[in-house]
Amino acid sequence: MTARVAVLKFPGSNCEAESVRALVRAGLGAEVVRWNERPESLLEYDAYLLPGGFSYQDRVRAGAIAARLPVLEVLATRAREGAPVWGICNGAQILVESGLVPGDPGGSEAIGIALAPNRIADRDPYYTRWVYLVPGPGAERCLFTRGLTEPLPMPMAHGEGRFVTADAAMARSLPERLALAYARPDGRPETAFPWTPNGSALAAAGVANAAGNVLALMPHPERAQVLAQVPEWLEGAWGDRRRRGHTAEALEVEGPGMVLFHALARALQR
Amino acid sequence: MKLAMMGRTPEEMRTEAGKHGLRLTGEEWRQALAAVGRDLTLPEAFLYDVSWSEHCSYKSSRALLKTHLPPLASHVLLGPGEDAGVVSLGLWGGEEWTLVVAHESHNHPSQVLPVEGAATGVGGIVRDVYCMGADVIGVLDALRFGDPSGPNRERVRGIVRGVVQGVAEYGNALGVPNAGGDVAFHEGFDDNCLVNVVAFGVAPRRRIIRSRVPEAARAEEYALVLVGKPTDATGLGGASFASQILDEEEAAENRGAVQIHDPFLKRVLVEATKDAWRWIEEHQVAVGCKDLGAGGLGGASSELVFAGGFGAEIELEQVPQGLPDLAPHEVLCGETQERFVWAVPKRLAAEFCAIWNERYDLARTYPNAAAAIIGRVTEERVYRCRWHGDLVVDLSAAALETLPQVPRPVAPRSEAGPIADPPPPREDPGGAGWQAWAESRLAAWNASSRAAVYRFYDAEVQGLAFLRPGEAAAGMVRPIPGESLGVAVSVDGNPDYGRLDPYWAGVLAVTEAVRNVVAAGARPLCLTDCLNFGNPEDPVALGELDAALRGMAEACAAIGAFARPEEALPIVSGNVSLYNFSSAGRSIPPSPIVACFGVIDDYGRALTPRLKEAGSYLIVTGARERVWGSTTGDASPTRGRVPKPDLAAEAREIRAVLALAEAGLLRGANDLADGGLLAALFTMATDEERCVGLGARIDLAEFEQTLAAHEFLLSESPGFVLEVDPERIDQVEGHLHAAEVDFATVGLVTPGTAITVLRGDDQLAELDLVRIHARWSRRLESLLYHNRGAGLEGAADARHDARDGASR
Repeated sequence: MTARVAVLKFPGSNCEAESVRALVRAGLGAEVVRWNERPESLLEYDAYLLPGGFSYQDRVRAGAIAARLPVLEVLATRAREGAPVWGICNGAQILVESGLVPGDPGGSEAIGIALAPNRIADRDPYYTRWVYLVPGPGAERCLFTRGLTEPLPMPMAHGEGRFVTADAAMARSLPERLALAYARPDGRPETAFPWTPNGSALAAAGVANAAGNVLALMPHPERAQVLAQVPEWLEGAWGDRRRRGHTAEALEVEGPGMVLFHALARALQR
Repeated sequence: MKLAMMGRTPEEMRTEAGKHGLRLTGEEWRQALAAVGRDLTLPEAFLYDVSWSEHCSYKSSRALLKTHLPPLASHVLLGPGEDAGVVSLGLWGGEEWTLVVAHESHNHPSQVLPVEGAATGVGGIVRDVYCMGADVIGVLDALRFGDPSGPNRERVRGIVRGVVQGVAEYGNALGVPNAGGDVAFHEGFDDNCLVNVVAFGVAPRRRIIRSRVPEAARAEEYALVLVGKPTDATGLGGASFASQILDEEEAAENRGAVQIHDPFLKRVLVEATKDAWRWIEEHQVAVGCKDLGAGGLGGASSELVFAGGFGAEIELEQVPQGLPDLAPHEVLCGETQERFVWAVPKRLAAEFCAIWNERYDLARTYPNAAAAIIGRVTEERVYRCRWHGDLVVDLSAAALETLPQVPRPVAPRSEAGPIADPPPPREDPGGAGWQAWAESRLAAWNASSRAAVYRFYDAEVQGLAFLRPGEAAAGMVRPIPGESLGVAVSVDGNPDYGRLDPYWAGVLAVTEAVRNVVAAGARPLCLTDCLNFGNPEDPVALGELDAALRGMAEACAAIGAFARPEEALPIVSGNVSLYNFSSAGRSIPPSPIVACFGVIDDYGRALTPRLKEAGSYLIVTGARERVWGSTTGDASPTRGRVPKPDLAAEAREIRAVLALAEAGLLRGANDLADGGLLAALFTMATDEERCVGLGARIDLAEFEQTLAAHEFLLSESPGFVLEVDPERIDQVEGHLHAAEVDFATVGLVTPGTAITVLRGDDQLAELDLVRIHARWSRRLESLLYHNRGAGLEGAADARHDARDGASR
């Protein structure tokens, strides 16, 4: 039986189509589910992906309004049951706003971290560039990143992606939830711009809950699902592979972002 | 209430209409009344005011367009007359796919309110593509700004920041990638910036929706459905405003004529629209659709029914309204954004509306947004609107489709032109001066890296990007996931050429857009254009439009359609923007801006400028002449000479290079235009962030010795730079000889980060690319980042350099 993943469409989501393509490429079933469908209809899915976009126009804060919809209560229930829940970009902002990430083993809904406007010297927050991700100290606890070794290049494109913690206790526990960190092309983690493009604490790009089944990831792996999407100028092994491809056939093979989608597929097989 | 105009003099008519903010001339009101045969109601007068505006009626340019534009080539499925042009992409995955393209300007609104003006520019152009049934997969923006170092620099810089923010805000939130564009600075745009926007999409051919009520409406009753944002008074008179001279004092009061953008609502509307396309296919019904742009509901709905040979009965009070107490003329002609009007069978209209109202819960997404049945299609070709039962518009097709007749004499420029052909820069920079010369040239406003602009734009959303802004001569997308098809896009137009010679500006806008697409290895399929000119009531300004159109048409004919060279390369959609002219008496540089769309069957075989391997040969094609626009310098040019290439030679060269690319004989290619060989080689040896690690050694002895070295490096005679594997060089040279292409093999790709220029045994210059890159890559940041003071000093330097003959 193919595992089925619900891709949640909120008003203003805009990465549904490419997210579905990446899930299908990983051998998963993927269906777009609208925010206003019966919340219980979500219970039947094996995993959930909240795609990128500008849900509710980023009103109040990015993700803040979608985080308060009834469907998020269903997601919280399913997350507690261990179902994988993955937010990418605006989806990550929704997970953080809802408290699903970092999550709280005590069960309170206290917000432990937030995604603040990017901090880039002298310029407005919104920024887009290719970044390199490496496993963080918490990678082995997270089902999306367990066993990951090589640096994964993929694009980021956001204005509010700087992970900040609410208090010292959360700051201390952030490393163990840090699944993916920004790095230099050779894989060394790097907090300085432009390698960390937004001023994020600990170079955090992807933060998971304590159980490791919920991941809030700011960069876009679905935009790196085929080699063709990797830019010709990119440094590192993936750039070399891209430069060696001179036909569409050679370039329509899997790209670096698929590593994370396959990890999801493996987790759903068990 | 009617405007009492019958029997009055034209001047009295104008005064009467002017009381209501209407802008047509007395003579035009006379013609409108003659067409209708009675006094007009206020909504009718507004409808004429919009329909007969320059923007909608093309009253000044119509005759010139008709005279010059070539007939459409046979591969064009739909051309002007629809909201967007449609060409076939052939069979992919067992389905015939089409490319749908549209091109417009939003110049005046962007000058007055840069963020909103640019954003609604993007918002409007994507609607033109969506309403044809195509999913928009990219936008391009051609931006022309004033001199960032000139006397108006503070205002110019504010406009730069606002326009870039507007383009980014809309496209990023809508989820439509930025596929390219260009930015040019010229003091002639200080009072009137240009924001040209291009949108393109793809659709299976069977899904294409016409901008007209279908014939099926003769067999069964059709309803008119208005979808989207509730109507308010925003943008009332927007089209008329776009058709006026920009007056500094009037700018403030015209802010009400600028529409307000809402990409968030649009995204929801678009997702619902895609569901509607599926619904249409399931129900196998014929529909018509138009986006609401200039003239609002009145403009779009009357055109939708009249184009199909029908009429309409509309109940204006059924239009969802976002403000209380709107008057019928505001409901009819307000240019509220984010709206579409559909013609669908009445029996299915309620089900159709439910897609938006229920499935997408539109009213809870945006207050009062809805899909609403507002009227019906009639056999009788009359456009009627009622307001709570009162007939407020009752105009026959014959009356409303009458076009205003205005005298628009055309005169050529005086012999000397506005700026006399200048002498070339005197001196060679010489010895150690070369490095500083090259740095100041490449770090000039018009030559420096555009990354500071496009880092605000999402080029990756939808996951279809292959060549992004800054990566190649043209942008390229993979429009159908999983298929090998690539679509290449480029938009071009050099303001300095327009200033020097509008005819050649027209020719070169076409050839450069085509060259960029060919340099990416793609086969040009069609063009779109936007013609940005000054005051058409000035015969010389209209003469500039006439000359540019003639140049474009001759270039299209010379290059030919690639499928059938005997047909002209088709211009399938476009727009004319006139009155780009400030009250201070300054007209913009005549600006024909052309976009080219090309296809490549296997996108993996696309070419990029990036140098690939040390030891490759470098070939320069095209005759080198002593010509340059001052776009290599700053935005306040004092000299320049426009290239005047032989059109037959252009066509031979472009076709020969495409053949080499398609045969897989090239390692890389770049177009040679603004900034000459210096800029072309620099972009091949660097990327946005660093030097590639390869440079070039070129020998000018390969050329006739009529040009000084610096003239050669700056010569903007159109051409290509080709990187060729040494094992293939004989084959490539043989092919170029056989095709009678003017070319020279000028040098080699070398390891390292330098460009070395020799003349025989003499080394003239060794340019350190790392140092140039440091200045080139940061220049525009001074306009777009907060530490904006930092750029002013450097600006003064570059200006000085350009003025004193480019030596330092």
